[in-house]
Amino acid sequence: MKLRNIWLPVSLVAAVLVSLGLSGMIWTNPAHSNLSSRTKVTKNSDSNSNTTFQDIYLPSQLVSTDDAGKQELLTNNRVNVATDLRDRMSHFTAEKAKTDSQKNPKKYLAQLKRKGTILLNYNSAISVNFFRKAFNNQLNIPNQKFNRMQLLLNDPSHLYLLNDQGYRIVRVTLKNNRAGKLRHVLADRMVKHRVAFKMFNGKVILDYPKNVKLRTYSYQLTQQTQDYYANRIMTTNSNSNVQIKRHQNSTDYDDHGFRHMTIDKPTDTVTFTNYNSQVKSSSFLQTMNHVYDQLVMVGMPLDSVRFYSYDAGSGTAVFRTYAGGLPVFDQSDFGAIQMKVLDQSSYRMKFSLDSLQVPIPPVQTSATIMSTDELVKQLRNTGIRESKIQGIELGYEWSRDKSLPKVVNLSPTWYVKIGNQWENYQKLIGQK
Amino acid sequence: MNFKRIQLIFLAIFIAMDVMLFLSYNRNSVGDSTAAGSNNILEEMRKDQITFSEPTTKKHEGYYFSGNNGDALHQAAPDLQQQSIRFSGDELVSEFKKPLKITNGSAKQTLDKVVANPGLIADGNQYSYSKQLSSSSEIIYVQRVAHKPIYSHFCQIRFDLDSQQRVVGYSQNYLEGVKILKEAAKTISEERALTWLYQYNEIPNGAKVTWVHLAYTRLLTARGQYVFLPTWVFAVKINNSSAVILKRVNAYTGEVIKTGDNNQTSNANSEIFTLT
Repeated sequence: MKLRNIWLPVSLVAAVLVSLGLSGMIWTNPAHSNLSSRTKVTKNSDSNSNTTFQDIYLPSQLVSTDDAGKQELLTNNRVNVATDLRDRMSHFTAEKAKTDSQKNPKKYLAQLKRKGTILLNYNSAISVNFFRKAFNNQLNIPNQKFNRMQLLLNDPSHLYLLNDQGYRIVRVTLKNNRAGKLRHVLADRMVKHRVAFKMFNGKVILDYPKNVKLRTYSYQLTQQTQDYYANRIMTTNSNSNVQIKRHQNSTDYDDHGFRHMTIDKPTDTVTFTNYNSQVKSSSFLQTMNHVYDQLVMVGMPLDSVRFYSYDAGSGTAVFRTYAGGLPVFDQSDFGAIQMKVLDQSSYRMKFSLDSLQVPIPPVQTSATIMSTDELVKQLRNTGIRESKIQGIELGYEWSRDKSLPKVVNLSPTWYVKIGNQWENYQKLIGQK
Repeated sequence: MNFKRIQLIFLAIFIAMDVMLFLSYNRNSVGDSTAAGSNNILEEMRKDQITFSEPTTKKHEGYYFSGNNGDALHQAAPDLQQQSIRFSGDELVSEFKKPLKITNGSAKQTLDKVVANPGLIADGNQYSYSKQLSSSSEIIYVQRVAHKPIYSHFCQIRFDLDSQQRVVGYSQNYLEGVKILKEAAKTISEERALTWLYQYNEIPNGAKVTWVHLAYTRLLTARGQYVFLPTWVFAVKINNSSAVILKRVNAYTGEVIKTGDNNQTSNANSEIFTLT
């Protein structure tokens, strides 16, 4: 009798609890998001993102110093040295960091030349948090800026973080690092060029004491159509009301609110402004995350494109095409991609419709480049004062082939930074 | 209406709600509980009655390289014995003076020895037997570069079989001067290639994917050199037809590679081609 009275409220409570439980499970299930619409989108948005965050933010330069003090620049031949190194060193953890020296250029240069080391260099300062993500490791030390990382082949329990700005040397104590793995990378076959670090005009440069023989490359030019980008970035799901204005040398796309795109025909460059893109914070890692997400969203081919530099003052990140471990200049006046964060919610991105994807046999397999001393001498002879030179770097010159249509030749040459602009040395000494 | 009746109605409503919630929970977790997107597409493919073995998600490494059919075979030809040789372009066409007998199923063992013999076949050590490309009238050996086979007419030895299962001769193309054009780069996974192929409508309903290989395919010719790149090659057998069609997906970008050469089937889609 009692049981009969009670079964109804009990089962009602049970049913309510079950429904609560089920709703909870559905809400917390991360897969619950609207799936059917997502699978249709993935096909497009993923098609070019074979390049990961880790790939695009690889260090731009690797220099090894052997036990006798001989320094060499490591470039790719069969393997990508930087990815190889990154994959092998991603497992260590670290806790302690101590500043060894500051504002002492002599000591800093000596540190760069330290025997038995590998240096991983970036063109501009990165943060510890960023490095942790790019190298997928556990470097748990206070966030700070550095642009070079020095691994010691004979001492697996330490590494150095170096910053050209202020000549700061920070010594980090490591756990779980296996140096044997690094030696293995160096034992692989790769192309090495004799170099030496040198102070030039108060800046650290990589000096090539002798002539260098470098590979030349040829690529088939892949050109993305205007419509591809117009469809991808100008037609957002809610607003398809895009106004298109055609001018003689350019085409404007405007969605009456958040996005604007201009395609310049003579140079084949796209300028895309997005006024509706929130950046969570202005930390270096967050900015780079944001930049990467936007590159994927726009969907340009990123196969051989890598991070080149970031200028915190103007909020500008530059990406360049890389060939054999060296940057390509002259693709456009800004590199392969330039992204400028305008404010908390908007950015302007410039990129080229051209990209390099399919390599073809070059006419000549290699070219010889003169030494740094010779370059400086030639510059001096044409009246360019050393104090004006902001940087010297070896890179590839992008030029269209004269006989084959849609073919780009990459030939190695010297680039000199003058007035915040990288110039081909031949242009500076009046040969071009 | 008494309180008991209200309780009963509520109970009924809640039970109905539970059933609905349970169903929707179940549907959401199907196919999505494990790593999203492509799995769902595989599910869709099964619904379209496409048969395939579970694709791997492993990424591989491959190169762009170039090479051509130069005169290596012309130079090696005088040293070859027990055969009469002629050239059609760069292709070496040979007829054995004594046809080789092949007993059932021993084709590989017999021909492996022939191919390994430098007196019979030039540069044979660079080729390996391909079960998938061989047929009842032809046995194919493919050249290998960087541990992967090249599926191209320009890098093969084709042994012709007559009606009595005897090898009467062969034709050979040899790729020489192989140069790596770019450092190794990661390819997409087999699963991705398969799902893209499906999404580009390259696999008709009811078809069967009989095998999948990562192999090199010629992409273009530039400056007198053939340029190869890694591709995922899918053998697709269409319903009610014995023909197996090879579909190639660029293993770097996932694009379906269109080839204009070779005999095209009557299929309306011009991207479908057969390998000869």
